Amino acid sequence: MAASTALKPITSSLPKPYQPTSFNLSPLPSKSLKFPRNSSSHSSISCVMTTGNATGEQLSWLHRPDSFGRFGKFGGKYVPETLMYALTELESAFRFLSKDPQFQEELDGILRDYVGRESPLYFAERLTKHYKRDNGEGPDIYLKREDLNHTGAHKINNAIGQALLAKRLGKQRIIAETGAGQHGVATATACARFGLQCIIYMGAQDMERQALNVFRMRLLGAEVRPVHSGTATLKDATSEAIRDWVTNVETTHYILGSVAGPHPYPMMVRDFHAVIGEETRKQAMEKWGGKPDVLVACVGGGSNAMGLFHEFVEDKDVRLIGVEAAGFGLDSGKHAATLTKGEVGVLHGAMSYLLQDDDGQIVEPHSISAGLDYPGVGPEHSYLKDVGRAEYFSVTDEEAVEAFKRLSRLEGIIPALETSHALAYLEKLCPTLPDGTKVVINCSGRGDKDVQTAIKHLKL
Amino acid sequence: MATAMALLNSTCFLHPKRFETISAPSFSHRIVSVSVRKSCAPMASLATTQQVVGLSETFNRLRQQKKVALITYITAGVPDLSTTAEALKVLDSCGSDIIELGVPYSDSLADGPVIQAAATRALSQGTNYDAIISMLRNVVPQLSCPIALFTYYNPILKHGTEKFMATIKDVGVHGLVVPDVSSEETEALRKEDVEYGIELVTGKPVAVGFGISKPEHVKLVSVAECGADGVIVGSALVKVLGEAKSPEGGLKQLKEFTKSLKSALP
Repeated sequence: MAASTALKPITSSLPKPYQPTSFNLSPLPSKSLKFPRNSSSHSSISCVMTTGNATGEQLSWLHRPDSFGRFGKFGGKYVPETLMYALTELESAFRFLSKDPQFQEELDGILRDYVGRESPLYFAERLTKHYKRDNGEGPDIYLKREDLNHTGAHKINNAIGQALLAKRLGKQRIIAETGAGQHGVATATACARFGLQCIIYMGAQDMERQALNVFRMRLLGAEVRPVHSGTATLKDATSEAIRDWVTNVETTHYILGSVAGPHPYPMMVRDFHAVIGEETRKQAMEKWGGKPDVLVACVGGGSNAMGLFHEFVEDKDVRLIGVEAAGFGLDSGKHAATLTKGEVGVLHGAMSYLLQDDDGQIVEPHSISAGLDYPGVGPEHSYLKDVGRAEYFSVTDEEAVEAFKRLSRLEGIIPALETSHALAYLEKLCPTLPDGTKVVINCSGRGDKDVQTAIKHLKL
Repeated sequence: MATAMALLNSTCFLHPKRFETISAPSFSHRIVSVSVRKSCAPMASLATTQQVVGLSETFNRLRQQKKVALITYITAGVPDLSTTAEALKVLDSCGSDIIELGVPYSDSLADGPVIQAAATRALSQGTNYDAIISMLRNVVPQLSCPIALFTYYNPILKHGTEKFMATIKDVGVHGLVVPDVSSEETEALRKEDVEYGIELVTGKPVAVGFGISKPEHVKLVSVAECGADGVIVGSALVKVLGEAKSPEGGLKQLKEFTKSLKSALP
């Protein structure tokens, strides 16, 4: 396996194999090639939190999570007792398989030949030009093309990994929750590929706004069960999936779609997505001989962001920016900006920031994008925010739709509405960045599924 | 088996998943042993305000009498809080050995459809923590059996664990059931419980997939000798109250139903 870590020359077009060492939770050795860096080290002009606050120990992989499944005070396993054995079993299996060459090879091959990895790191020439200031200065913007993966989003990385793991555990029945439908589609895809029974829980409201994905899941052979309880959105679908798992834990594996939920899910889902960041490091080195200066990703539960960030968390000179959904505005009460407006509590098995009322009831969030419409957030994001390692901002529905249109017009790429939130933040970010700052945005998904919603909002 | 489980510091009871009954209860479902974590505080401290004894002591007493405890559960606020107040008295007078009162929650992941729907309904009518506490303050002194509060963890955290414990203790609640706090995570809670003399029940839910909703079920469970010291009836009672044409009608039905359940027990 070590041989595959050797860098190939820039001109090579062979896809890089999936790096299995990420499962050992040890950071990849930094490459020793010394190219002159043509970008100045980032010095943010705006007054936001810098990475200086967090200590090396706090950022060390040993504490993310610790042996109790906690990231500082966040995380944990707040679930009914009947699930504890399944969680322990899952963790053991995951740790074992992370080191198993056969599993790694099989996963490696599927990610390469079936999912289509590695995804390109694309220099967005016209978007970059758009953000150049009058004096011609501005950052260089790159898009990590997770939208080009099979099924059109980053979600497939985790779905494939967990489906393979479930097979190894001998579970024949898979359940999952889904918001936008991308994780549902990814799970249904993985189940079709591996011949597993698939049941997807989706909020009835979400089913309406993501009809294309509902159809896709059914076409792929999955049963899609509408959830009418509560607000009929992602949080309720998650609760329903957990209820199902409690009932059927012996036969069933629950493929949780984000870095939320009880331990080991936040760690496991992150590690299955960590390939995003690993590839980015290699690609950045190839393209400009250095590291990215700023990483930007949208945050719902937080899986695509953790997938991009994880590789760089211990590189304090790399700025990590997460962008949540501000919906109708932070003061409107109709948003999903958990890390900005939430308080610490327990939701779906993990202690993390969440949107709640005075009684501790979970509040119904709002975002134009179903995938960001979650009142919680992965515990690791809560941790990174608290230790000052990552910064979190938010963007309104309107700003996201503008960005959706902008990328389509400037680069010929129609992004998912979720991704559009990350892209929208460039409006505020780019004016503050020195010339040549290397910005990598996780283009977490494509926007075909969102055209119906966009039609309602855009007059074209 | 019953003796093995009946250690001095723990009791054991069947805690069926609060799901709709699916045909006849089948004992081929897994039955996992349950333990009640007794507070380290001496029993005397529990009986400070009333003559009512705590949960563990109730179980001990019943076990000595070779009886099976009837534990009844209802969700607060269904159909409304004043009916809940009356219902608690009905459950008490009709033979409940322990009453569990559910605090409605927006994301009750350990509850089945009947209780979920009940919670949503109660919440939409404005049932909140303060109102429930206020109701309990009036009603608990009139009850002869101990009452435990069933709530998810987040509302406890939101109100502040210490403050929460102090309040419910003050109101006369004896026990606490928190379904999303497993034995691994109980440390923080247990500390506060011990301090306030509240018995924390970290039940391992058993018998997934059946709800006890008829006297025949109750009889089956107690006769089956699976080490059960008690039987819990939840959704069936919530359904009676929730679907009744009027609150008075519901209370009347509740009375008859509870009595029939009690009579099915040894």
